Amino acid sequence: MTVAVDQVAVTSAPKPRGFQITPGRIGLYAFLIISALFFLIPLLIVFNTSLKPMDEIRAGDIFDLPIDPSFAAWAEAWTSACTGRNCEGIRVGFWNSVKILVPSVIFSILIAAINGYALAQWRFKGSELILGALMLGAFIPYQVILYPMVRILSTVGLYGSLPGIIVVHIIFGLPVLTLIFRNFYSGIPIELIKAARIDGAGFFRIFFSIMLPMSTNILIVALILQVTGIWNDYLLGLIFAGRENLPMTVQLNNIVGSVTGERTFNVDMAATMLTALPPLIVYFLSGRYFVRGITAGAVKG
Amino acid sequence: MSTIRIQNVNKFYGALQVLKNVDLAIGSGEFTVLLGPSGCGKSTLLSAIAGLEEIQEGGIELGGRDVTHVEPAKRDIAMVFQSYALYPTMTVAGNMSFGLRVNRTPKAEIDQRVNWAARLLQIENLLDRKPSQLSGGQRQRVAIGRALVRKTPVYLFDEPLSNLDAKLRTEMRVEIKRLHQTLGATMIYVTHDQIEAMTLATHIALMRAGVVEQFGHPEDLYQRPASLFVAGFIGSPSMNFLPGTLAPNGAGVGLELPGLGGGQQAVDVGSYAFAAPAKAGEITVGLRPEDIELVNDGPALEGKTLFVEPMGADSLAWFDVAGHRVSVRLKADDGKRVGETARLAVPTEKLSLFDPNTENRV
Repeated sequence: MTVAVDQVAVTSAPKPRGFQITPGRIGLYAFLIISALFFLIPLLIVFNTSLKPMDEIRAGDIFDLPIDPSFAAWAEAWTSACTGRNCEGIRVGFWNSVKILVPSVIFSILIAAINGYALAQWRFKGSELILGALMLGAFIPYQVILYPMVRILSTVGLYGSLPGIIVVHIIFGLPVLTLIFRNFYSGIPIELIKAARIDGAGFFRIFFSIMLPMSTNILIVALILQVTGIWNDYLLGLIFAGRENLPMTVQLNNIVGSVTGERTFNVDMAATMLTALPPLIVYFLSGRYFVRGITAGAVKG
Repeated sequence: MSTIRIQNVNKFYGALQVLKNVDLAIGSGEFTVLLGPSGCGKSTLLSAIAGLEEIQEGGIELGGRDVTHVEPAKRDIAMVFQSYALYPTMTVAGNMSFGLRVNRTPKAEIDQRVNWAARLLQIENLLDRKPSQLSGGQRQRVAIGRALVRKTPVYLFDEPLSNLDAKLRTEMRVEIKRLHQTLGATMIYVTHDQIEAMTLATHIALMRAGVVEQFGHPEDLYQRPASLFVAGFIGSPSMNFLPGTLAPNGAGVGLELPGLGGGQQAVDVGSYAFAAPAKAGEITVGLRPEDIELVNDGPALEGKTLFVEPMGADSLAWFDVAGHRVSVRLKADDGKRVGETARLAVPTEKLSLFDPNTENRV
């Protein structure tokens, strides 16, 4: 139907084509709008509340717009909100999260890309077995691994340290990321590798000179997955990072949880917004690539 | 000094044997075509020569050096792939110079060689483009250029023209032949197109099911096919086959054929170059369409005309000879004059005889 309409539109004189309003289309939009609201309303309430002073929050409804919007609560959350006895704000957690995030993201993606490339393009003895093990690894729940992981890390002296939590994030990221990269690289014709081998390039030369430059889309997908995943992580950070390196999510929980006197909703909400901002920004900046990369991987894989 | 010796090579994929006792000696500067239908092992053999596929038994020598277990990079070869396999993120110049850069060739030398190859292939104006901005024919030229800049003594081509349209294929075929004459390098070329094979090759190795059926000059394969398979594969339209009976007598060898008219029972094929003394019995007779002449008298096959296909330069006439379909290539004018029946003279000097059981030439 639509194909026929398109062809007519192409061959006949250009005429503005109006929207065809059908019950199906109305239902579709209704569903999309409701879904969007479902996810947006909590965000709006949090943002709205963070801009109000406390007496306004006490007096009014959560849906009331702030009379005099102010970022005072944000500043307080950033610099002087208390987590337990420590009142330095959530910025400590922010910088801890950054310190955890950057190396974890870089190394997990790099290692996973090399793994995926090796599994996809260099069939070696046992490569299928490793792939099977990775599939299994991708589906094992965290809870099963936590205790053994704690024991292993404390044996090698990394438990409760910055390198410790980074290693944990790299390891937990590898199965899924490796599968993503393997699927992407499986779609690349093997003759490319053969040509490069005849040209004299070795395993790593082929990876860095030929495969990696082709991987922009899938790298962005991996980047988004890892940045949001690691930034939003709570459990692993709480267990493995140690007191000095608690990530922002854990700090946020501590701020919200430590009440002295009146509960400062506006500061809590501002801290929540601050914690949620980095993944939000990542999504806004790269959502387009994310969709493109997912489909590229899906079709070719 | 770039001879290629392939000795008793066997290759298996699990239980499946894809190369069976392949044994070839290729001279320096030869253009050898590995020809055969899909799945005959020709590409596998090329990959084995390139070192991209392991072989389980046998040996490969390049220029007198045993390279059976040597990495492709160290075999001093260059290869052109069917799918071009251009590096998509690099420019044409980048693609062509990659191998040289990997081998740390000096910059000046790289530039000089890239320009030389680009000029030879007439792609000088494309050097800054990406492969995605090129047409199929241009990509193929770049792929060949990438091989040329390496200046190796041996070049391997894996069905390089099969992704091009017919016109471009003819052009590139001529181009490749010219390159071979200019460079004088040893070339091995895989194709399933017998026209490409016949026009390019100095030697053809015709393969079937992992076995080299015949290895020789193109004319040899065409005129003296070693087996029924070779006879049927080479030539378009393919050779006509008729069942006959051999009857050696004192003076010569009688060949009885179905549909033989004019009061004759047999034609004499005593002048045929039998590999071994002729034995009486059933035989398969192969006749090239262009070797058959239409005659008015003398011993000949009685044929009923089926149809005539005009092909421009000549015509192809199809006859029914005692239930067997026989094609005859005629001059365009003669094609128009074919009546309802015709008499087909048997070219006793130019026929091929095969044992119907072993399918080999006798």
